[in-house]
Amino acid sequence: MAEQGSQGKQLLSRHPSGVVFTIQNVVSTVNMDCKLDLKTIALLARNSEYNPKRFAAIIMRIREPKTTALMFASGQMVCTGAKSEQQSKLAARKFARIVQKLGFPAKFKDFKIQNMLSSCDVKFPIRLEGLSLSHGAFCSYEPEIFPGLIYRMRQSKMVLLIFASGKIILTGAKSEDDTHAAFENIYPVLTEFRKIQQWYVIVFSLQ
Amino acid sequence: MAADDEDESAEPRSIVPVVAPGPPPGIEKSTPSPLPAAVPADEGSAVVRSVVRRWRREHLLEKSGLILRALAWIFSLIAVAVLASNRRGGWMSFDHYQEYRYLLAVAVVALVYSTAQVLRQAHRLGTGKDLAPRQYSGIVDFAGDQVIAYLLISASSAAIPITDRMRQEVVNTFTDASVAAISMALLAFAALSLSALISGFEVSKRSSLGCHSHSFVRGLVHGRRSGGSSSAFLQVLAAIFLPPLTASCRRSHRKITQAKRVGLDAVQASAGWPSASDQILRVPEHRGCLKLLVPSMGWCSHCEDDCPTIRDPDKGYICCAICGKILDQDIYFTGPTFAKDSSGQSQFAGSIMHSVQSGYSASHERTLMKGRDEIRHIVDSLRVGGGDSIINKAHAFYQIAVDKNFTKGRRTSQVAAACLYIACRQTKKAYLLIDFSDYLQINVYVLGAVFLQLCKILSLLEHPIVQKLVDPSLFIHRFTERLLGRKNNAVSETALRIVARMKRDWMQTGRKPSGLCGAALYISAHSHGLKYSKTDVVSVVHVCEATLTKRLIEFENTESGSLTIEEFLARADELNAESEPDQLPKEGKVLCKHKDTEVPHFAHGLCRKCYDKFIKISGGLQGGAEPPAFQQAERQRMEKEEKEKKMRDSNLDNHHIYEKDKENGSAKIPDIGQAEGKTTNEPESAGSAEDKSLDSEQQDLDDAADDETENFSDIDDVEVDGYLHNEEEKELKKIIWEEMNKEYLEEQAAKEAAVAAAKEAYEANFADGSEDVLAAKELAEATAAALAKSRKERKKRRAEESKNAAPAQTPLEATRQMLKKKTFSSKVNYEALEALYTSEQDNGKKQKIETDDADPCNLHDNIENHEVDPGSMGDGDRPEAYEDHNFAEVSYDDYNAIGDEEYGYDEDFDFS
Repeated sequence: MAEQGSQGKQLLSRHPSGVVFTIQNVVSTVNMDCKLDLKTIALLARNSEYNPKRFAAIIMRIREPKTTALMFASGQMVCTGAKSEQQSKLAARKFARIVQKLGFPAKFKDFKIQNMLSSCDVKFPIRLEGLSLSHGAFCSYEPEIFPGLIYRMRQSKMVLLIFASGKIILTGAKSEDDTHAAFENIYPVLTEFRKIQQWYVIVFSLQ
Repeated sequence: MAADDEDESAEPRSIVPVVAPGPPPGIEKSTPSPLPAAVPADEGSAVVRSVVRRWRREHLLEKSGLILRALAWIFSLIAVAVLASNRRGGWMSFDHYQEYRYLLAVAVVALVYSTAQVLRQAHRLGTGKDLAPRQYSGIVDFAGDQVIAYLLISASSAAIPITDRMRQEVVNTFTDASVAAISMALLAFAALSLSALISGFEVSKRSSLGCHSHSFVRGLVHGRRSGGSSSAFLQVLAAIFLPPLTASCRRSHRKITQAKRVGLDAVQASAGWPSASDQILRVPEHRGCLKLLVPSMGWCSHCEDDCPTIRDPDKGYICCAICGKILDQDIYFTGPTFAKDSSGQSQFAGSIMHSVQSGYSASHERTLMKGRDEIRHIVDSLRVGGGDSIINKAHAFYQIAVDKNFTKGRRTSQVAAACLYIACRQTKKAYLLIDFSDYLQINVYVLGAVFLQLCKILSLLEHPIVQKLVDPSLFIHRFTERLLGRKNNAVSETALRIVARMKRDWMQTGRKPSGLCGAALYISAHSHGLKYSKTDVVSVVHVCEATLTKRLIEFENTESGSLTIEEFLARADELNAESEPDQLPKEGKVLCKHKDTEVPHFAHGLCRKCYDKFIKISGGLQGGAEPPAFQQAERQRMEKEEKEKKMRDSNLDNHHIYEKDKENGSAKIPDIGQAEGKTTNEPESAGSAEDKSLDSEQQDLDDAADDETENFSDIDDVEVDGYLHNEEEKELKKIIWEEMNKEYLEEQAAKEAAVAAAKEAYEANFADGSEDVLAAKELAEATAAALAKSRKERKKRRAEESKNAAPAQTPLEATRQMLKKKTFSSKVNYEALEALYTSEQDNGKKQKIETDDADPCNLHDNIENHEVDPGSMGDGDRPEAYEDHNFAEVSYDDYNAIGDEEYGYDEDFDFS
């Protein structure tokens, strides 16, 4: 909660629409550039899981930042669960350090953010039908299958899940700026189909 | 009880005399069983019950209004008749007196008015349509009743004193008739004033005029009190009716708060949008209009002119719009046809359509036919209308799917169902994905995934077929039919209105259509007195009962939930009647599917057509309740805010205390927040140093520009060590891990050994050292043997056994050995087997035995047998047969009694 709050303040300055979004998950990859003996790592590292029959990678977790990594025998690592770009990087470095400590010549190459998932709440109801009618080329709205509207942006390759309650999930971003840009693009469209409040409804709700 | 129920359901159309005003005692009678006993008395049904009860009461009110007016009509008719015929000559004629003339005139007016009212109301009850415009009808009713009632009371009170005076002088038929007419007029007044109460009550409910009607009613009461004449009759009347009047006055006052809300809604309706139901009702006409208004032109040989033509897609013909001559028909013949050309020669007519499939193989054809059969199956079992045309459509999709290899790796039935679903979407057939998944007995989301993938393959995702939104009201008719087993337009109509209202109240956005339709249908069926349990509805619409209950509760929470059915329908009518005030098109860019055409922008980035569709499908952006999900989110937001506020307050307090304590000089105060933070964040072994280092790490991170190295000096070693095992732990984990992954390790070891051996053999081949080759080969063999050891071992053991076993001495033994090798050994009855062989083996001996020492008893038996069958003695065959029989008998006995030696060898044999 507190984390969200502080992040909110940080983002507000950059956010003209006044809606603050929270990053929920960051996925990054890094190449440690050395062959790993997964079994050794599995035996030596404390928070690790290795079930070779099921999945050919070690699943390792650390608590601060609370993240999970998949390490493959080739030295590739995928780090998930961080709440920001910096945190993701820090976590990846920690994982690499652990591997290094276990006696492998681990490096830290080609760190890249692969995906960022963030959520926000525009605090007004949205008519998904209207959105689907006017932006048909980008939208997929099948209430029989999924309650939200799936909005695929063409240029930024981002995918937004828009719900009638006004909650939005943005995914597919490679950086925080992508998310910002996408949200700033979509916000006017959302306001177009927001519920128009009648004055008397407000009056009556006050009574 | 059953008969009573039937009465209940039949009641809404019949007229029951009800005398008492307001909610008469009849209500209690009409409410007892709005629901069958089978329905669980939970929240959802309680909602419906209350709604239905209210709807019934409303109906009763309307009926009592009708009855009261009918009474007024009768009374005024009698008054007119009696008074008009009251001419006895001389002074005894009513037209000599102003008062009587006035009374007659008023009675005639009352008669005319009540006739008109009765007719109108009967029409409304019968057809459900009102002759007068809905928004004025209440006021017309109320004002009319009031005025006529006032006129009646004033006329009768004017006539009473003169009649009184006359009757003091003389009592004859003239005065009697006058008294009768006056009392009839008074009775008519009573009836009309009561109906005025009812219509006043309705007006107060329907609109913000409620305030006025309230004062009207009060005025009526006061007027009655102050303007009372000396007539004792009137006083009695007032005494009787005042209490209920004031009571209903109070009741109407209570209703006014509610009426305000409803009234405002009416204002909104007049300012804003047509209701969705309005749109639904208008659709068919609209379509018809389009068809007529935008005809294509064609040459009609009958009219000998270019005429507008009409195309009927269902029957496949194009006809002249003026004379009706069929100009063209879309009919295809499969056989060859011939026609004469201009030179009189017969020629092959038409053209041969080359099917695409003709280039494909027979198996391809089969695949297509299989898909077609599957589609036909689904169509038949779900009773999708449209027959071959829909099958063809779906099959066309299926063909493309096959061409694009979409069917590979998917079930034919699923692909077929998805194709059919697309075809249904295209032709607006009321079928949901869940209907197909229910038929296929698979998860709806599995089918949904297939459908979406298919759309992608067919590039339909941006095509209007799929883009077109599904309107929940499309399904109402089919669901109604499935629930009731027959068509019922009244139920469907009400359900449609409820769905329309749900749309306006934002209940449908992001929801499956089936849940909404189920709730609407449930309420509608109950309001029409049809008792269906939730389970019935659930099985028709394929949602879970909890969902249905949730939708019902949500509907109750909207403002329509607090209306009665009459009010509800009236609102729908109002919204219907008030067409949307012409909205001026706004400036903007057209973004909808018509964006490349010349269509002007209307609103919200939509053209006029799309905007109308949007309003129809979704109920528009204006008004209505908040969507339930939004309400929930709002609630959560508020809770969170409150919590934060509380937290802040308590923090402040803490801070305060802390400061205070500091001032007081107590040095050590445990900082709760900090302590908690530590305990939750730390890994066990990592020290508190970690916490401190964390902050600095984060700060340093940006500075560490070249992090693409193996330099991790910024990472705290203490923390990292916390994630590592020490030796003892390592050993323990090794044991656990190896135990858990035993199979994998074994496999891995075997694989490695095989690989190594193969490699060695390969290398040895190159080295050409005969020794090495041999050794390597041996090794390879050994490993290969080890790999297949478990299977081979068993085989070997068996082979050995068979080798070691001594050759069978007797046929019995041989059979035994053979059987033992087979798997069914345990099922063989070895004793029977023994018996089989011993009897055969003994055959040779038997003859001897038979001749040597036959059992006397046996002999006796034989004799007996012999005697029993005397007729067979002469037969040549018989003795032999008899002898055979004897053999068997004897040998058996022999075996039992004597044959111990033969038996012995069996004991020697090893059974195992």
